[in-house]
Amino acid sequence: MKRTAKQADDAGHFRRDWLSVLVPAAGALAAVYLIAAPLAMLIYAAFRGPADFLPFEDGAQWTLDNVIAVFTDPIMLGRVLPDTLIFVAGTVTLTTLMAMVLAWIVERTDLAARNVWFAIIIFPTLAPIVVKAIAWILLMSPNAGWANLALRGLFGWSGEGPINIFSMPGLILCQALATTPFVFLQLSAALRSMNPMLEEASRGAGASPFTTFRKVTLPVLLPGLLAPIILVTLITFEQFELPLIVGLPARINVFAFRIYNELNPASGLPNYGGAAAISLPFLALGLLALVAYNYAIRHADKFVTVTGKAFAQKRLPLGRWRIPAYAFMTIYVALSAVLPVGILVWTSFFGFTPPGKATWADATLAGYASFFSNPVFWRAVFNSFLVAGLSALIVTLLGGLIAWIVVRSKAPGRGLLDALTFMSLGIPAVIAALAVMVLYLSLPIGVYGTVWILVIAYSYRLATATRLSRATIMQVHKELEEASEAAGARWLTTQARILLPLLAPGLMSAFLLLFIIGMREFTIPFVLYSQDNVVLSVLIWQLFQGGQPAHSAALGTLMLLMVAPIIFFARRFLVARGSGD
Amino acid sequence: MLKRTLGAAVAALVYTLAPAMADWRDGPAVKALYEKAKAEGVAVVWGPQRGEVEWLAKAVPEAFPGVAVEFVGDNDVVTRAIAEARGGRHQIDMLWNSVTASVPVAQRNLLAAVDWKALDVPDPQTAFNGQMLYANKVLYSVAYDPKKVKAEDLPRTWDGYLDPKFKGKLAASLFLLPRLTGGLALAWGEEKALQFARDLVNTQDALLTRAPRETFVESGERLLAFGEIENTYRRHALEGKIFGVSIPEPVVMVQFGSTVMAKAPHPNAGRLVAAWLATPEGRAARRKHTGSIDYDTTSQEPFAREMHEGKVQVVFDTPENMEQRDAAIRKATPIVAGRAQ
Repeated sequence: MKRTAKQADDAGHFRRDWLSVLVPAAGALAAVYLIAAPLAMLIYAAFRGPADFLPFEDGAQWTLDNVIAVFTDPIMLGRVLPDTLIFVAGTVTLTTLMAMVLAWIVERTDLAARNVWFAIIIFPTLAPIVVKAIAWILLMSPNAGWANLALRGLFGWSGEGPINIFSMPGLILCQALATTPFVFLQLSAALRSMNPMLEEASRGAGASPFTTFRKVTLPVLLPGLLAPIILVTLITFEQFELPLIVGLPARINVFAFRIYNELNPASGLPNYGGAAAISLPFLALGLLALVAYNYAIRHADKFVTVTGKAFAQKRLPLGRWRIPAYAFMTIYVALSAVLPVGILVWTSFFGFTPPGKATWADATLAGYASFFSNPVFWRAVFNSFLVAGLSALIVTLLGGLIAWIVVRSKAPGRGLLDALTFMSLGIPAVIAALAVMVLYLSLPIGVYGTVWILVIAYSYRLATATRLSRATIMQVHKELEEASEAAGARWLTTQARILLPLLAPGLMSAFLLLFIIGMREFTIPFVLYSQDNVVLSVLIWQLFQGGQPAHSAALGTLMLLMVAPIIFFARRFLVARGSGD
Repeated sequence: MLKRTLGAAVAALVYTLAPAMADWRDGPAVKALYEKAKAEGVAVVWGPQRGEVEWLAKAVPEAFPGVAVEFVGDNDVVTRAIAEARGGRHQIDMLWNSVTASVPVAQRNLLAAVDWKALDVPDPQTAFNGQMLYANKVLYSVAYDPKKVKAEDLPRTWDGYLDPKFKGKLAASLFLLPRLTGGLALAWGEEKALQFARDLVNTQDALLTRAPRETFVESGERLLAFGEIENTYRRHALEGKIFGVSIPEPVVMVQFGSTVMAKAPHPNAGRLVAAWLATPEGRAARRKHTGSIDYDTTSQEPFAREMHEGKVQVVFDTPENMEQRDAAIRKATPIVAGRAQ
């Protein structure tokens, strides 16, 4: 029977409506599953015992023993919690100071070659922290560290030091060097957008650049500093690599490593319930910090001087502060980027023989040559790109979908969905790994130990993609979509042909950022490590731990060479340079 | 007490090979097992350190063409193996570990019982009702740079390293030091051993790390790598890195062996490698590829003879005392890691 035009139109509309419900619903369910399911299993496991049983295992029963053990453990209260808080507080303070000074020098002064400095400052974000940690140990070990040897030789000092990386200050310094680029990016963007009128008035009154910075720039920016400070608190809170490699020799115990110890005790069975119980208070702290972060970013715009008027960015002459500024910049990039990379490359050819004691005859390519015939290397390369790329793709697409639901739809519960995805920012990586581990050990579907568990575990970071996509969608007036639907296009066609092209730059930014984070990730693949899912960051650590520093350094160098081109490509999408440069 | 520079020791190694190899591989049971293993093509071996198992990737195909070895060396290999089995993933054929460290996998019923005698293993020494086959003994030692340290300046006993002159000079493993403490607990009693660990950490300011200690000795950051497995430095000697090794008393000797997983994906290859490691041929291959010395009771090595003749105090872990050692390890670990006093 032929249908009438109206009946055909109704059928098409019916199909369109279903898609506009089905696709977002599927995306929302996937997002909820990726975040909520592992967390729910983790919380459940905390209240199940005995501690080495999985929550659904035969014989497991409800218990408060795990939680009581955590809150009455004198070591947890007397060592782990204070160590963690001191580590976080020290890192946040030093990071904020360094990032603020760097951002101000780069964005507000007449520093030469600003673009080069900018690129060098953010370059270390590419390298896995495990690579930098090994280099920093070689550089700053108290007795034989190259920096200490140079300083003692220069000033004629005896004994050890003056820098001791194996101490709380040493750990804080390393963490701050690793974290500063992230805060620098945010602060430099804020400074670039800030109207310089107030600073010009200060200079016009005769104040020096430093006085202007101290009395004008800093107070204006201070409210807007809260968000990056909280963000670096979250980042530091979840740190695992540096406490493992640098902190443990100093007998500093942070909570991330405490959780790992429960999963890998000195002897005996893994303590899943105990690890889950330890996670609870730290998960709560992370989420509290996240609430504060959310509050901060909602209110920061009240204090910024960005207006709709265009302005010319006038730069402060450094004058007599030029030398101190260059000295600071040089020391920072030396410690954070140049020396670690240099040491890495040197060690890959010469092992531990320091410059000055090695000859060209000592150089060897053995570290590099060994990889190309090693199937484990190729497996790690493949796994790294697969996991980082696929998880970034999944998160980017889901993030875009959720952003559409939150901004465009009237779906009930979209506020909760938004809150849930944002909450993922406050979940430390070690807890995410533990939660996924407990979930997929309880669901023996053969995912555990494969590369797919890493893809799933990495895919909880929905906050980044959601936030970036939201910002872009909000800039696109819904009239465009409405016009498309009025012309008869189905929902999916409208999204694909109208909204997606406009969202593409934002989605690409999210994808690249998540890809970089995925490539350098260490905690999750280390906790979930198995023979088949080894990635480059874990292999670097295993080679170093296995007594092959030259091979470890060679692999670190190769990894940087593989990923470095991405930063130059990514900069076009992630960083928009201001006018007037 | 044994003190020597391992370069010379490696050069002096002598081992026999051909007659034992022909005998064991010619047995009909072994031949049949080899054919099945070849059909499987690979044995997946996990061990506590890379150096303990890496050599198998070269040695096994030499001895058994057509059988490859894939390996994982990781301090946390036991807990990972348990987690994999729980997750329904069975990719390990053989675990290589100490008898004490193998207790958790035995407790979870993850091991296969193998009739080692049927595989012509001569006089098989086993644990866990035949599930573990002993193959090698290792000693704890102190390694040093012979260009910076004189052997005669080192103490004869473990507690001699509590002398203030060694303060700030020691690097030790977060993984091995508790296990050394567990061994010393068998000789000294638990309390004295734990106090020894506390003194090393708190008074002697030993650098505790998961990084390889020899790198700290090589770089000059610390003078002595304390509580190390002696075989590690024999392997380095083969690579041209010469360290001195001192073995203080009481000598802490640990039994290592192979276990085959109950759900091994390549069970025949696993059994073949496990059995081979305990034969004279397997031991000879270990000596060839790793430089290690055989400390078995039949060994003709001078220091092995001294130990087995009772001229040196030796502490040896057995299934009978492994619970006592394990208890001391559990208490020592948080002390060493700074999580307990």
